Amino acid sequence: MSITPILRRPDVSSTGVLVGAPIGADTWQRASALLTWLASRGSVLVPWTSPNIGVDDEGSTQTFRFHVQTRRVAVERLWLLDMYVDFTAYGTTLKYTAGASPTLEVATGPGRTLQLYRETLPAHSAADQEISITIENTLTDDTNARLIGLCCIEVDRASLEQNTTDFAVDLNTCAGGQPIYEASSGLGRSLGGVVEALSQVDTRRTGLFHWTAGDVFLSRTSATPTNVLALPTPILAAKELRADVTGFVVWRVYASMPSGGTGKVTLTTTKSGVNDTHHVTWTTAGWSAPRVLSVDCERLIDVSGLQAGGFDDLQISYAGSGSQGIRLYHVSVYTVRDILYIGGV
Amino acid sequence: MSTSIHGGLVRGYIPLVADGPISATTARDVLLNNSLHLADESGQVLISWAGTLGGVFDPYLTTSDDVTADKWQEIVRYENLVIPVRESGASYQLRVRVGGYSSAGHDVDFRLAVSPSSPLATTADDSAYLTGATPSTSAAWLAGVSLGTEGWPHLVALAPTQIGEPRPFPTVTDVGGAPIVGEQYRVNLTVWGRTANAASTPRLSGLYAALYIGV
Repeated sequence: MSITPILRRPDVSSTGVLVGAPIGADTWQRASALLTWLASRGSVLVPWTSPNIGVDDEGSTQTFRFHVQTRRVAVERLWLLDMYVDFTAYGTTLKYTAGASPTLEVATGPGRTLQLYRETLPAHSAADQEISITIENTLTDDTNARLIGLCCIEVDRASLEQNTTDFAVDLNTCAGGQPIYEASSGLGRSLGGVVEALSQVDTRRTGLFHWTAGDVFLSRTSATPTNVLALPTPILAAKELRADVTGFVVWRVYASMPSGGTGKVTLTTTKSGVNDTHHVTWTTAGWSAPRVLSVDCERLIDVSGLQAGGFDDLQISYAGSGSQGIRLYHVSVYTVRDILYIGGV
Repeated sequence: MSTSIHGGLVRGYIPLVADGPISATTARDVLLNNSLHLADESGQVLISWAGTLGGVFDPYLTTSDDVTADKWQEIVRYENLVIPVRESGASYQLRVRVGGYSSAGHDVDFRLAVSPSSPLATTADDSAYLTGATPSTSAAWLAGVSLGTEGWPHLVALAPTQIGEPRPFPTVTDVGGAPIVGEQYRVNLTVWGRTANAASTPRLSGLYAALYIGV
Protein backbone atom coordinates (compact mmCIF):
# COMPACT_ATOMS: atom_id res chain seq x y z
CA MET A 1 0.00 0.00 0.00
CA SER A 2 1.28 3.48 -0.88
CA ILE A 3 1.46 6.04 1.89
CA THR A 4 1.15 9.76 1.16
CA PRO A 5 3.30 11.78 3.57
CA ILE A 6 1.63 14.77 5.08
CA LEU A 7 2.80 18.15 3.87
CA ARG A 8 3.83 19.77 7.12
CA ARG A 9 6.14 18.30 9.73
CA PRO A 10 3.92 16.80 12.44
CA ASP A 11 4.44 17.96 16.00
CA VAL A 12 4.58 15.15 18.53
CA SER A 13 4.16 15.85 22.21
CA SER A 14 5.69 13.69 24.89
CA THR A 15 3.68 15.24 27.70
CA GLY A 16 1.15 12.44 27.63
CA VAL A 17 3.78 9.71 27.86
CA LEU A 18 3.86 8.93 31.55
CA VAL A 19 5.23 6.04 33.53
CA GLY A 20 2.39 3.80 34.61
CA ALA A 21 -0.01 5.08 31.98
CA PRO A 22 -0.65 3.70 28.53
CA ILE A 23 0.80 5.55 25.54
CA GLY A 24 -2.06 7.03 23.56
CA ALA A 25 -2.77 5.94 20.03
CA ASP A 26 -2.53 9.57 18.95
CA THR A 27 1.11 9.66 20.05
CA TRP A 28 1.90 6.56 17.99
CA GLN A 29 0.05 7.93 14.99
CA ARG A 30 1.90 11.22 15.14
CA ALA A 31 5.21 9.45 15.54
CA SER A 32 4.47 7.33 12.48
CA ALA A 33 3.47 10.41 10.48
CA LEU A 34 6.66 12.22 11.53
CA LEU A 35 8.89 9.33 10.48
CA THR A 36 7.14 8.98 7.13
CA TRP A 37 7.45 12.75 6.61
CA LEU A 38 11.17 12.52 7.37
CA ALA A 39 11.66 9.66 4.94
CA SER A 40 9.88 11.57 2.20
CA ARG A 41 12.13 14.59 2.27
CA GLY A 42 14.82 14.76 -0.35
CA SER A 43 18.24 15.83 0.80
CA VAL A 44 20.49 18.39 -0.81
CA LEU A 45 23.33 16.47 -2.42
CA VAL A 46 25.12 19.53 -3.77
CA PRO A 47 24.28 22.83 -2.10
CA TRP A 48 24.31 25.74 -4.54
CA THR A 49 27.91 26.27 -5.53
CA SER A 50 29.29 28.81 -7.93
CA PRO A 51 31.96 27.54 -10.33
CA ASN A 52 31.50 30.67 -12.44
CA ILE A 53 33.40 29.26 -15.41
CA GLY A 54 32.81 29.15 -19.13
CA VAL A 55 31.63 26.40 -21.44
CA ASP A 56 32.73 28.51 -24.33
CA ASP A 57 33.66 26.87 -27.58
CA GLU A 58 31.73 24.92 -30.16
CA GLY A 59 31.18 21.42 -28.96
CA SER A 60 33.04 22.05 -25.74
CA THR A 61 31.96 20.17 -22.66
CA GLN A 62 32.51 20.50 -18.97
CA THR A 63 31.79 17.74 -16.48
CA PHE A 64 31.12 18.67 -12.89
CA ARG A 65 31.68 15.81 -10.46
CA PHE A 66 30.66 15.42 -6.85
CA HIS A 67 31.03 12.59 -4.36
CA VAL A 68 28.18 11.87 -1.93
CA GLN A 69 26.42 9.02 -0.20
CA THR A 70 22.95 9.17 -1.67
CA ARG A 71 19.78 8.28 0.24
CA ARG A 72 18.19 4.93 -0.43
CA VAL A 73 14.64 6.26 -0.72
CA ALA A 74 15.42 8.74 -3.53
CA VAL A 75 13.89 8.11 -6.96
CA GLU A 76 14.92 11.26 -8.84
CA ARG A 77 17.46 14.05 -8.67
CA LEU A 78 16.93 17.59 -9.79
CA TRP A 79 19.84 19.61 -11.11
CA LEU A 80 19.37 23.37 -11.14
CA LEU A 81 21.79 25.34 -13.24
CA ASP A 82 22.23 29.10 -13.34
CA MET A 83 23.50 29.66 -16.91
CA TYR A 84 24.61 32.83 -18.62
CA VAL A 85 24.86 33.21 -22.39
CA ASP A 86 26.65 36.24 -23.79
CA PHE A 87 24.40 39.15 -24.77
CA THR A 88 26.40 39.66 -27.96
CA ALA A 89 25.31 36.31 -29.32
CA TYR A 90 21.97 35.03 -30.45
CA GLY A 91 22.00 32.28 -27.91
CA THR A 92 22.90 28.67 -28.17
CA THR A 93 21.73 25.16 -27.48
CA LEU A 94 23.01 23.64 -24.30
CA LYS A 95 22.99 19.91 -23.66
CA TYR A 96 22.85 18.41 -20.19
CA THR A 97 23.59 14.80 -19.34
CA ALA A 98 23.61 13.22 -15.89
CA GLY A 99 23.83 9.55 -15.03
CA ALA A 100 21.83 7.28 -17.28
CA SER A 101 19.15 9.86 -17.99
CA PRO A 102 18.54 11.04 -21.55
CA THR A 103 20.38 14.16 -22.65
CA LEU A 104 18.33 17.32 -22.34
CA GLU A 105 18.75 19.95 -25.05
CA VAL A 106 17.73 23.50 -24.24
CA ALA A 107 17.73 26.38 -26.69
CA THR A 108 18.95 29.30 -24.64
CA GLY A 109 18.72 32.94 -25.62
CA PRO A 110 21.16 35.61 -24.53
CA GLY A 111 21.14 36.43 -20.86
CA ARG A 112 20.84 34.51 -17.64
CA THR A 113 18.43 31.64 -17.16
CA LEU A 114 17.71 28.96 -14.59
CA GLN A 115 17.79 25.51 -16.20
CA LEU A 116 16.24 22.43 -14.61
CA TYR A 117 17.37 18.93 -15.46
CA ARG A 118 15.64 15.92 -13.97
CA GLU A 119 17.80 12.84 -13.51
CA THR A 120 15.76 9.69 -13.23
CA LEU A 121 17.43 7.02 -11.14
CA PRO A 122 17.59 3.46 -12.46
CA ALA A 123 17.54 1.95 -8.96
CA HIS A 124 17.47 2.81 -5.29
CA SER A 125 20.97 3.32 -3.99
CA ALA A 126 22.62 4.32 -0.74
CA ALA A 127 26.10 4.02 -2.23
CA ASP A 128 28.92 6.43 -1.53
CA GLN A 129 29.30 7.40 -5.17
CA GLU A 130 30.12 10.01 -7.77
CA ILE A 131 27.28 12.01 -9.25
CA SER A 132 28.01 14.28 -12.18
CA ILE A 133 26.52 16.47 -14.86
CA THR A 134 28.03 17.25 -18.24
CA ILE A 135 27.22 20.49 -20.03
CA GLU A 136 27.86 20.88 -23.76
CA ASN A 137 27.72 24.13 -25.70
CA THR A 138 26.68 23.34 -29.28
CA LEU A 139 26.68 26.66 -31.11
CA THR A 140 28.82 26.88 -34.23
CA ASP A 141 30.45 30.17 -33.34
CA ASP A 142 32.20 30.86 -30.10
CA THR A 143 29.22 31.85 -28.01
CA ASN A 144 30.18 32.41 -24.43
CA ALA A 145 28.13 30.21 -22.19
CA ARG A 146 28.94 30.38 -18.53
CA LEU A 147 27.91 28.26 -15.58
CA ILE A 148 27.28 30.74 -12.79
CA GLY A 149 26.09 28.16 -10.29
CA LEU A 150 24.48 24.78 -9.83
CA CYS A 151 22.95 22.57 -7.19
CA CYS A 152 21.58 19.04 -7.03
CA ILE A 153 18.77 17.88 -4.79
CA GLU A 154 16.93 14.64 -4.30
CA VAL A 155 13.31 15.19 -5.22
CA ASP A 156 10.89 14.76 -2.32
CA ARG A 157 8.85 11.57 -2.40
CA ALA A 158 5.15 12.20 -3.04
CA SER A 159 4.31 8.67 -1.94
CA LEU A 160 6.17 5.92 -0.15
CA GLU A 161 5.75 2.21 0.20
CA GLN A 162 5.52 -0.09 3.20
CA ASN A 163 8.62 -1.98 2.13
CA THR A 164 12.26 -2.46 3.07
CA THR A 165 13.32 0.54 1.01
CA ASP A 166 10.90 3.21 2.19
CA PHE A 167 9.74 1.91 5.58
CA ALA A 168 6.62 4.08 5.40
CA VAL A 169 4.09 3.49 8.16
CA ASP A 170 0.35 3.44 7.71
CA LEU A 171 -0.77 5.61 10.61
CA ASN A 172 -4.21 3.99 10.56
CA THR A 173 -2.61 0.82 11.88
CA CYS A 174 -1.60 2.76 15.00
CA ALA A 175 -5.14 3.91 15.76
CA GLY A 176 -7.04 2.92 18.87
CA GLY A 177 -8.58 -0.51 18.66
CA GLN A 178 -6.08 -1.78 16.11
CA PRO A 179 -3.97 -4.85 16.89
CA ILE A 180 -0.39 -4.29 18.01
CA TYR A 181 2.20 -5.81 15.72
CA GLU A 182 5.88 -6.23 16.15
CA ALA A 183 8.01 -5.48 13.09
CA SER A 184 8.28 -9.08 11.95
CA SER A 185 4.51 -9.25 11.62
CA GLY A 186 4.46 -6.88 8.70
CA LEU A 187 6.28 -3.85 7.40
CA GLY A 188 4.88 -0.40 7.89
CA ARG A 189 2.24 -1.46 10.35
CA SER A 190 1.56 -0.69 13.95
CA LEU A 191 4.11 -0.11 16.67
CA GLY A 192 6.62 -2.44 15.10
CA GLY A 193 6.49 -0.42 11.91
CA VAL A 194 7.17 2.80 13.82
CA VAL A 195 10.13 1.31 15.64
CA GLU A 196 11.57 -0.11 12.43
CA ALA A 197 11.06 3.17 10.58
CA LEU A 198 13.08 4.98 13.23
CA SER A 199 15.94 2.54 12.91
CA GLN A 200 16.03 2.94 9.12
CA VAL A 201 15.27 6.58 8.40
CA ASP A 202 18.11 8.56 6.83
CA THR A 203 17.84 12.25 7.71
CA ARG A 204 21.34 13.39 6.87
CA ARG A 205 22.23 16.84 5.65
CA THR A 206 24.05 15.04 2.87
CA GLY A 207 26.10 17.58 0.97
CA LEU A 208 27.91 20.13 3.12
CA PHE A 209 30.33 21.77 0.69
CA HIS A 210 31.53 21.03 -2.81
CA TRP A 211 34.09 22.86 -4.86
CA THR A 212 34.33 22.10 -8.57
CA ALA A 213 36.39 23.33 -11.48
CA GLY A 214 34.74 21.16 -14.09
CA ASP A 215 37.39 19.92 -16.51
CA VAL A 216 39.42 23.10 -16.22
CA PHE A 217 41.28 22.18 -12.97
CA LEU A 218 43.68 24.24 -10.91
CA SER A 219 47.34 23.38 -11.41
CA ARG A 220 50.40 24.04 -9.30
CA THR A 221 53.98 22.80 -9.35
CA SER A 222 55.32 24.57 -6.29
CA ALA A 223 55.47 22.52 -3.12
CA THR A 224 54.29 25.56 -1.17
CA PRO A 225 50.52 25.30 -0.69
CA THR A 226 48.20 28.00 -1.94
CA ASN A 227 44.54 28.51 -1.08
CA VAL A 228 41.65 27.53 -3.35
CA LEU A 229 38.96 29.73 -1.81
CA ALA A 230 38.73 33.48 -1.58
CA LEU A 231 37.05 32.99 1.80
CA PRO A 232 37.12 30.10 4.29
CA THR A 233 33.60 28.71 4.08
CA PRO A 234 31.25 27.65 6.91
CA ILE A 235 31.10 23.97 7.78
CA LEU A 236 28.64 22.70 10.38
CA ALA A 237 27.66 19.11 11.05
CA ALA A 238 24.40 17.95 12.57
CA LYS A 239 24.40 17.34 16.31
CA GLU A 240 24.00 13.74 17.38
CA LEU A 241 24.40 13.28 21.12
CA ARG A 242 23.48 16.05 23.52
CA ALA A 243 27.04 16.72 24.71
CA ASP A 244 28.59 16.69 21.25
CA VAL A 245 30.38 19.82 20.09
CA THR A 246 31.67 18.26 16.90
CA GLY A 247 30.39 15.86 14.27
CA PHE A 248 31.98 13.62 11.68
CA VAL A 249 32.12 14.42 7.98
CA VAL A 250 34.13 12.89 5.16
CA TRP A 251 35.99 14.52 2.32
CA ARG A 252 37.47 13.43 -0.96
CA VAL A 253 39.44 15.12 -3.71
CA TYR A 254 39.40 14.48 -7.45
CA ALA A 255 42.92 15.21 -8.65
CA SER A 256 45.97 13.85 -10.43
CA MET A 257 49.73 14.13 -10.70
CA PRO A 258 49.98 13.50 -14.46
CA SER A 259 53.78 13.52 -14.52
CA GLY A 260 54.26 11.56 -11.31
CA GLY A 261 55.47 12.67 -7.92
CA THR A 262 53.40 13.43 -4.87
CA GLY A 263 51.16 16.45 -4.55
CA LYS A 264 48.87 17.30 -1.70
CA VAL A 265 45.49 18.81 -0.99
CA THR A 266 44.89 19.99 2.56
CA LEU A 267 41.69 20.93 4.34
CA THR A 268 41.96 23.14 7.40
CA THR A 269 39.29 24.54 9.68
CA THR A 270 39.40 27.68 11.75
CA LYS A 271 37.77 26.50 14.98
CA SER A 272 37.72 22.72 15.14
CA GLY A 273 41.43 22.48 14.42
CA VAL A 274 41.32 20.23 11.37
CA ASN A 275 44.51 20.00 9.33
CA ASP A 276 44.10 16.98 7.11
CA THR A 277 45.90 16.14 3.88
CA HIS A 278 45.24 13.93 0.89
CA HIS A 279 48.55 12.92 -0.72
CA VAL A 280 47.97 12.63 -4.46
CA THR A 281 50.16 10.13 -6.29
CA TRP A 282 47.91 8.85 -9.07
CA THR A 283 48.62 10.03 -12.63
CA THR A 284 45.10 9.69 -14.03
CA ALA A 285 42.45 12.02 -12.67
CA GLY A 286 40.25 10.30 -10.11
CA TRP A 287 38.78 10.39 -6.64
CA SER A 288 40.80 9.83 -3.51
CA ALA A 289 39.68 7.48 -0.77
CA PRO A 290 37.53 9.19 1.87
CA ARG A 291 39.06 10.75 4.94
CA VAL A 292 37.08 11.49 8.08
CA LEU A 293 37.11 14.87 9.79
CA SER A 294 35.62 16.18 13.02
CA VAL A 295 34.16 19.66 12.65
CA ASP A 296 31.83 21.84 14.71
CA CYS A 297 28.28 20.60 15.04
CA GLU A 298 25.12 22.58 15.65
CA ARG A 299 24.45 23.95 19.12
CA LEU A 300 20.74 24.02 19.67
CA ILE A 301 20.79 26.44 22.56
CA ASP A 302 22.49 29.15 20.51
CA VAL A 303 20.26 31.56 18.61
CA SER A 304 22.25 30.91 15.42
CA GLY A 305 23.00 27.28 16.18
CA LEU A 306 26.73 27.86 16.37
CA GLN A 307 29.28 26.67 18.88
CA ALA A 308 30.93 29.35 21.01
CA GLY A 309 33.09 31.64 18.94
CA GLY A 310 30.94 31.61 15.83
CA PHE A 311 31.35 29.83 12.51
CA ASP A 312 33.76 26.99 11.92
CA ASP A 313 35.20 27.67 8.46
CA LEU A 314 37.06 25.41 6.06
CA GLN A 315 39.80 26.31 3.62
CA ILE A 316 41.38 24.11 0.96
CA SER A 317 44.96 24.44 -0.20
CA TYR A 318 46.95 22.48 -2.76
CA ALA A 319 50.56 22.03 -3.78
CA GLY A 320 52.61 20.12 -6.32
CA SER A 321 55.77 18.19 -5.56
CA GLY A 322 58.10 21.08 -6.33
CA SER A 323 59.10 19.61 -9.67
CA GLN A 324 55.83 18.00 -10.81
CA GLY A 325 52.45 19.67 -11.01
CA ILE A 326 49.16 18.71 -9.40
CA ARG A 327 45.81 19.07 -11.11
CA LEU A 328 42.88 19.71 -8.76
CA TYR A 329 39.41 19.29 -10.25
CA HIS A 330 36.87 18.74 -7.46
CA VAL A 331 36.57 18.57 -3.67
CA SER A 332 33.57 17.11 -1.83
CA VAL A 333 32.73 17.39 1.87
CA TYR A 334 29.67 15.38 2.87
CA THR A 335 28.16 13.03 5.43
CA VAL A 336 27.72 9.29 5.47
CA ARG A 337 25.13 7.36 7.40
CA ASP A 338 26.14 7.00 10.99
CA ILE A 339 26.24 3.73 12.82
CA LEU A 340 24.95 5.32 16.00
CA TYR A 341 22.20 3.11 17.32
CA ILE A 342 19.14 5.28 17.59
CA GLY A 343 16.52 2.69 18.35
CA GLY A 344 15.01 -0.14 16.45
CA VAL A 345 14.23 -3.78 16.35
CA MET B 1 12.92 25.88 18.87
CA SER B 2 14.53 22.54 19.47
CA THR B 3 11.59 20.20 19.79
CA SER B 4 13.18 17.10 21.22
CA ILE B 5 13.15 16.27 24.89
CA HIS B 6 16.89 15.93 25.39
CA GLY B 7 18.39 18.08 22.61
CA GLY B 8 20.29 15.12 21.23
CA LEU B 9 19.93 11.46 20.38
CA VAL B 10 19.57 8.93 23.16
CA ARG B 11 21.23 5.59 22.54
CA GLY B 12 18.69 2.91 23.04
CA TYR B 13 17.03 -0.20 21.95
CA ILE B 14 13.32 -0.83 21.82
CA PRO B 15 12.64 -4.42 22.82
CA LEU B 16 9.32 -4.71 21.08
CA VAL B 17 8.29 -8.32 21.15
CA ALA B 18 4.96 -10.04 20.81
CA ASP B 19 2.78 -9.45 23.84
CA GLY B 20 5.59 -7.57 25.55
CA PRO B 21 5.10 -4.12 27.03
CA ILE B 22 7.08 -1.09 25.91
CA SER B 23 8.03 1.17 28.75
CA ALA B 24 6.89 4.76 28.72
CA THR B 25 10.47 5.86 29.35
CA THR B 26 11.74 4.02 26.28
CA ALA B 27 8.91 5.34 24.16
CA ARG B 28 9.57 8.89 25.29
CA ASP B 29 13.37 9.00 25.45
CA VAL B 30 14.23 6.81 22.50
CA LEU B 31 11.35 6.75 20.09
CA LEU B 32 9.88 10.23 20.45
CA ASN B 33 13.02 12.08 21.45
CA ASN B 34 15.12 10.58 18.68
CA SER B 35 12.44 11.09 16.03
CA LEU B 36 12.09 14.72 17.01
CA HIS B 37 15.83 15.31 17.21
CA LEU B 38 16.39 13.77 13.79
CA ALA B 39 13.70 16.06 12.43
CA ASP B 40 15.30 19.06 14.11
CA GLU B 41 18.69 18.23 12.65
CA SER B 42 17.47 17.34 9.18
CA GLY B 43 17.84 20.92 7.95
CA GLN B 44 19.89 20.90 4.76
CA VAL B 45 22.67 23.17 3.56
CA LEU B 46 21.13 25.05 0.64
CA ILE B 47 23.92 27.34 -0.51
CA SER B 48 27.63 27.08 0.23
CA TRP B 49 30.28 28.67 -1.91
CA ALA B 50 33.20 31.02 -1.93
CA GLY B 51 34.97 32.37 -4.98
CA THR B 52 37.86 30.41 -6.45
CA LEU B 53 41.32 31.94 -6.52
CA GLY B 54 43.53 31.45 -9.55
CA GLY B 55 42.94 29.67 -12.81
CA VAL B 56 40.28 30.98 -15.15
CA PHE B 57 37.72 31.68 -12.45
CA ASP B 58 35.99 34.91 -11.59
CA PRO B 59 36.14 34.79 -7.80
CA TYR B 60 32.99 36.83 -7.31
CA LEU B 61 29.52 37.60 -8.65
CA THR B 62 28.45 41.16 -9.25
CA THR B 63 25.54 43.22 -10.49
CA SER B 64 24.63 42.59 -14.10
CA ASP B 65 23.34 46.09 -14.86
CA ASP B 66 25.29 49.28 -15.13
CA VAL B 67 26.07 50.34 -11.61
CA THR B 68 24.20 53.29 -10.15
CA ALA B 69 25.12 54.82 -6.82
CA ASP B 70 22.77 54.23 -3.87
CA LYS B 71 20.54 51.82 -5.72
CA TRP B 72 19.98 48.16 -4.86
CA GLN B 73 20.85 45.97 -7.83
CA GLU B 74 20.34 42.22 -7.98
CA ILE B 75 23.43 40.03 -7.94
CA VAL B 76 22.04 36.52 -7.71
CA ARG B 77 18.73 34.79 -7.14
CA TYR B 78 18.27 31.21 -5.98
CA GLU B 79 14.87 29.86 -6.89
CA ASN B 80 12.88 26.85 -5.70
CA LEU B 81 14.63 26.27 -2.40
CA VAL B 82 12.59 23.62 -0.60
CA ILE B 83 11.84 24.61 2.98
CA PRO B 84 10.24 22.47 5.70
CA VAL B 85 7.19 23.87 7.44
CA ARG B 86 5.94 22.66 10.79
CA GLU B 87 2.37 21.84 11.67
CA SER B 88 2.14 25.14 13.51
CA GLY B 89 2.92 27.03 10.31
CA ALA B 90 6.41 28.01 11.40
CA SER B 91 9.10 27.20 8.88
CA TYR B 92 12.70 26.28 9.55
CA GLN B 93 14.92 29.34 9.72
CA LEU B 94 17.85 30.04 7.44
CA ARG B 95 21.33 30.54 8.82
CA VAL B 96 23.03 32.92 6.41
CA ARG B 97 26.40 34.49 5.80
CA VAL B 98 27.35 36.98 3.13
CA GLY B 99 30.88 37.63 1.88
CA GLY B 100 31.85 40.53 -0.32
CA TYR B 101 34.01 43.54 -1.01
CA SER B 102 34.29 46.70 -3.06
CA SER B 103 35.99 46.76 -6.46
CA ALA B 104 37.56 50.20 -6.01
CA GLY B 105 37.45 51.26 -2.38
CA HIS B 106 34.10 52.96 -1.99
CA ASP B 107 31.47 51.77 0.46
CA VAL B 108 29.37 48.82 -0.68
CA ASP B 109 26.82 46.76 1.20
CA PHE B 110 24.66 43.72 0.51
CA ARG B 111 21.10 42.80 1.21
CA LEU B 112 19.49 39.34 1.24
CA ALA B 113 15.87 38.27 1.53
CA VAL B 114 13.74 35.14 1.27
CA SER B 115 10.16 34.89 0.11
CA PRO B 116 7.84 32.38 -1.59
CA SER B 117 7.90 34.72 -4.59
CA SER B 118 10.78 36.88 -5.70
CA PRO B 119 11.70 38.96 -2.68
CA LEU B 120 11.76 42.73 -2.76
CA ALA B 121 14.87 44.71 -1.98
CA THR B 122 12.69 46.92 0.20
CA THR B 123 11.63 44.11 2.55
CA ALA B 124 12.46 45.15 6.10
CA ASP B 125 11.43 42.36 8.45
CA ASP B 126 13.22 39.25 9.72
CA SER B 127 13.00 37.62 6.29
CA ALA B 128 15.56 40.18 5.11
CA TYR B 129 19.17 40.75 6.09
CA LEU B 130 21.50 43.71 5.64
CA THR B 131 25.27 43.70 5.92
CA GLY B 132 27.32 46.58 7.17
CA ALA B 133 28.96 48.77 4.55
CA THR B 134 32.57 48.13 3.66
CA PRO B 135 35.09 49.99 1.47
CA SER B 136 37.51 47.07 1.67
CA THR B 137 38.86 45.68 -1.57
CA SER B 138 39.62 42.33 0.05
CA ALA B 139 37.08 39.51 0.30
CA ALA B 140 35.64 39.05 3.80
CA TRP B 141 32.56 37.73 5.52
CA LEU B 142 30.48 40.73 6.49
CA ALA B 143 28.63 41.30 9.76
CA GLY B 144 24.94 41.88 9.30
CA VAL B 145 21.57 41.70 10.94
CA SER B 146 18.04 40.67 10.09
CA LEU B 147 15.83 43.70 9.65
CA GLY B 148 12.86 42.83 11.88
CA THR B 149 12.29 42.90 15.59
CA GLU B 150 14.50 39.87 16.15
CA GLY B 151 17.62 41.52 14.74
CA TRP B 152 19.36 38.18 14.29
CA PRO B 153 23.11 38.31 13.52
CA HIS B 154 23.10 35.20 11.31
CA LEU B 155 19.48 34.25 10.62
CA VAL B 156 16.51 35.09 8.47
CA ALA B 157 13.08 33.52 8.80
CA LEU B 158 9.64 33.74 7.32
CA ALA B 159 6.73 34.39 9.65
CA PRO B 160 3.90 31.83 9.37
CA THR B 161 1.86 34.42 7.48
CA GLN B 162 4.65 34.75 4.91
CA ILE B 163 5.02 31.08 4.00
CA GLY B 164 2.54 31.18 1.17
CA GLU B 165 0.79 28.26 -0.41
CA PRO B 166 2.40 24.89 -1.10
CA ARG B 167 3.41 24.36 -4.69
CA PRO B 168 3.10 21.23 -6.78
CA PHE B 169 6.11 19.26 -7.95
CA PRO B 170 6.12 16.44 -10.47
CA THR B 171 7.84 13.19 -9.67
CA VAL B 172 7.26 9.45 -9.87
CA THR B 173 5.80 7.03 -7.37
CA ASP B 174 8.95 4.94 -7.25
CA VAL B 175 11.95 4.01 -9.39
CA GLY B 176 10.42 3.36 -12.78
CA GLY B 177 7.02 4.21 -11.33
CA ALA B 178 4.08 6.21 -12.57
CA PRO B 179 4.02 10.02 -12.64
CA ILE B 180 2.63 11.66 -9.53
CA VAL B 181 2.39 15.20 -8.24
CA GLY B 182 3.32 16.13 -4.69
CA GLU B 183 3.31 19.39 -2.80
CA GLN B 184 6.09 21.26 -1.05
CA TYR B 185 6.88 24.72 0.24
CA ARG B 186 9.48 26.60 -1.74
CA VAL B 187 11.15 29.96 -1.39
CA ASN B 188 13.45 32.17 -3.41
CA LEU B 189 16.51 33.82 -1.95
CA THR B 190 17.91 36.95 -3.57
CA VAL B 191 21.06 38.95 -2.90
CA TRP B 192 21.42 42.58 -3.94
CA GLY B 193 24.41 44.89 -3.85
CA ARG B 194 24.61 48.64 -3.44
CA THR B 195 27.46 51.08 -3.86
CA ALA B 196 27.94 54.58 -2.51
CA ASN B 197 29.89 55.55 -5.61
CA ALA B 198 29.40 54.26 -9.13
CA ALA B 199 33.17 53.95 -9.51
CA SER B 200 32.98 50.86 -7.25
CA THR B 201 30.92 47.77 -7.81
CA PRO B 202 29.80 45.42 -5.02
CA ARG B 203 31.40 41.99 -5.41
CA LEU B 204 29.77 38.99 -3.79
CA SER B 205 32.58 36.57 -2.95
CA GLY B 206 30.81 34.01 -0.79
CA LEU B 207 27.37 32.95 0.33
CA TYR B 208 26.09 30.39 2.82
CA ALA B 209 22.51 29.45 3.71
CA ALA B 210 21.43 26.43 5.74
CA LEU B 211 18.15 25.38 7.30
CA TYR B 212 17.98 25.55 11.08
CA ILE B 213 15.19 24.60 13.46
CA GLY B 214 16.08 27.58 15.66
CA VAL B 215 16.20 28.10 19.39
